[in-house]
Amino acid sequence: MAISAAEKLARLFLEGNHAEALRFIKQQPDQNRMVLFRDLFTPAMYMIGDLWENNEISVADEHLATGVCDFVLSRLFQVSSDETTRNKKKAMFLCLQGEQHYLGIKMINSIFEEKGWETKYYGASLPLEYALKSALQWKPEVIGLSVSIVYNLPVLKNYVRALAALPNKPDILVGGRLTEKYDLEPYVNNQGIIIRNLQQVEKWLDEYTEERINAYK
Amino acid sequence: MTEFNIDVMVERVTEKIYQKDPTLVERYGDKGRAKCIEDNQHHFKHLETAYELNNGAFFIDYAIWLDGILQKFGMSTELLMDNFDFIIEVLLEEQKKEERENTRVSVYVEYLQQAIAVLQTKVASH
Repeated sequence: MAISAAEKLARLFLEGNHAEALRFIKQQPDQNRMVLFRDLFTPAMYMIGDLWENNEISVADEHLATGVCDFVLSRLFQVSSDETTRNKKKAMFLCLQGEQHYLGIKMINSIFEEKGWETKYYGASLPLEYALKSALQWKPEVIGLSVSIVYNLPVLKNYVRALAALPNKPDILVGGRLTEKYDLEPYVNNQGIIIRNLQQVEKWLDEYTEERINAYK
Repeated sequence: MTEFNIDVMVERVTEKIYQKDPTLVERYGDKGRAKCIEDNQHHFKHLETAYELNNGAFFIDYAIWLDGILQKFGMSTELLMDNFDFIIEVLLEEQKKEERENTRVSVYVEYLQQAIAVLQTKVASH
């Protein structure tokens, strides 16, 4: 039986095969980041999660695969160093304290970069006090939060409340796998925008840019 | 729940599980017992999370998800339902010791009962 491209990618991640995984992505006919993230990276990592849940692979396999996926994302989608940061809009991305699932928000960060934003990506588990301190100094227009495990959800309220109250009034985006399954609105209290998938973030970004353009007209 | 000692309660729940089915020792050994303690710590942690989020769905979904995983390891849904029953017993024993009614206990019990009911319908449909 023929296997899907996402499954092929999942296998390369699980084999720890960095070189082949890179080559495989570069060979894809559509090199648009959104398409690659949506159709290949995300389903490949979901498959790996399912294999782990079904006890078909171990934690070690899953960690190896995550490492390869992380490497491929960093290698393929790096920001060019000569780009000027002047007048760029700024966005920062982090996972709530305790949250280790950072690949999704890494992809979101990459989408923002592709759209011309200057970004800071903080990876897994960032305690609120440090997120606040960094945001206070850097003054990003957008702060993206990610949460994937229910255990880590109770702190969401505090993050949203504290970050939304920053003097420069950033927009707070909330994403992660829990947003697909649950209504997180009660924990966001109208102070943040819930993003359920990659397409929604793209749509939000387009609308944001459009509003900006209209505001200057 | 002023002094709500999860470790002690988990220990008591595990005792009850092994008392009810002594063959578990032969089948899964000491490793199984350690796993049982670990699982029960997760049950309590999930109860606490659902309580903090004020939404029992988080615990019920966890129960359904966990049941699926446990079945792959050859554990029956009934075993998980018994486990939840024992948590209720231990919580109520704990409640008796306190002078005032503890809302956390009643909410936990409610979530556990809901989860048992959902697992029951799963068993019945097989």
